Amino acid sequence: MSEFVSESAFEEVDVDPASAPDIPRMHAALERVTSWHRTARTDLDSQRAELQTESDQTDTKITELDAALLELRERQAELEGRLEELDELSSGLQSEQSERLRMAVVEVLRADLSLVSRRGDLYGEARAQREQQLEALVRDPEMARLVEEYEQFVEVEPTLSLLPSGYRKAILSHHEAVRRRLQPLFDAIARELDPIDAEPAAVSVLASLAQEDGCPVALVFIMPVKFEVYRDWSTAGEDLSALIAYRVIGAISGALDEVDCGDAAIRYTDIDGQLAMQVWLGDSDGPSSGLRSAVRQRFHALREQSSELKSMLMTLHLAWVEPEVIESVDATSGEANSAGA
Amino acid sequence: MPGLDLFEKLSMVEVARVLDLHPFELARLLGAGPALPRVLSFEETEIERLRQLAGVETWWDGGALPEQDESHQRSLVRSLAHKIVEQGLPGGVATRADNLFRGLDGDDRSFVRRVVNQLIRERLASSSSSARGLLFHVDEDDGARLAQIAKGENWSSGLEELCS
Repeated sequence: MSEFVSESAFEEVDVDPASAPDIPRMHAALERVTSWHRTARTDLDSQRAELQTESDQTDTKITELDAALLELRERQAELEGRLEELDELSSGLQSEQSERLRMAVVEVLRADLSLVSRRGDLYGEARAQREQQLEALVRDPEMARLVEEYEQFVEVEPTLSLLPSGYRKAILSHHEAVRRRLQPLFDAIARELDPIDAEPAAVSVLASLAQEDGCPVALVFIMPVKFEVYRDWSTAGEDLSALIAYRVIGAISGALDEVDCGDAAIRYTDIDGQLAMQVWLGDSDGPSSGLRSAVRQRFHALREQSSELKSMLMTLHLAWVEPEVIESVDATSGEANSAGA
Repeated sequence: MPGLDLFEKLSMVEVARVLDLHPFELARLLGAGPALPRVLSFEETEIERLRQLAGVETWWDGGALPEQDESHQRSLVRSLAHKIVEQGLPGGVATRADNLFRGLDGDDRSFVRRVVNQLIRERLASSSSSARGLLFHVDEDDGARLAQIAKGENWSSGLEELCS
């Protein structure tokens, strides 16, 4: 039996059943199997050859793709390196921009402070000149006599009610006549200062609005006036810087009131020697409408409604910056103080 | 200049001095209210209106203290509590915090300011910001305790310490 399972055994059988009808059925059966096997083998060999060809081609492609992939990885590594370099450069650029912005802001703040100081001198001169004009006016003997009469009236005015009606009316009537003749003096006192002979000048109030989750929480304004205006108000006198501070505070206060934040807590601080106003909105329900717009409008109105700014040919402008800029200016102040200490 | 003072208007600083305020407080009040005038000067007759606008009250007029105790400082504490109750602050409207020591000078002013802060620390009073400045509030429930303090009773160790 075992010889028939061997392929070599089949190959030994070479019988044509048609030409040899007496060939045993066993041989015929073996021949059929042998024939089937041959056909099947041929078919498999053919398929294998095709697959082998395809496999070889795939291997070739893989090899090519491996090479391309390696090349791409090298390129990718190169690009990542370049990107890192660019990120470093970009980060440096941002830092450089912040530093340049801080320096520019500090420089302009100091320049504006200096300009306000110089205009303050002119304002002082204009006021002194007006005082001299008034003095000249009251040096006139007739005017001096009227002023003296006016003063005497003010002294006795509280006792007028004790006088009989006739006397009282006569005195009041005379006083009214004195008052009318003093009108030139009243007019001179009430007259606004004339515009100075100088170029118009614009100075800025630096402003920032800090927000949390889109809600305004704090405002900071740095004014072009020295912090001493706040600290030493009782001894320093009231100069142009003080008047500018009042105007700015009034404008901001009006804007806060307009947006229902009138009760916000306010602090005055020293930033780089200049007066800063900090408004804390965190405890309020937040502005009812556009806070920045309200502040802008108040500043616009302030330019038109300030006698001293008009006569000094000055305008005040708002310059909005990010809170980080104010922080960097404040840091400058801290550094300067440390250096000074 | 002799003769002209009578006719000159008052500056912001001069009005602030009369009202015992910082001129910046005045600027804030005017800005939030009727707006700052075109020329920043005021007639003397405007001072009363500004005083009311600011809510300025002078609680200490230099007369005898309403409550007397063994030491001046204890008298001041008791008198302050007395005035807070007398002015109807417990449960009533708030007043400017600086009204509580307006009219006092020097050490007395500093001392009463510290007492006001102590009352706030002890939660017998509270403060809030406003366009008129810092306001001082007292809850109705704390009125009885303040009345006791005015009588020299039920003092906290903090108040005792301030006077020691």
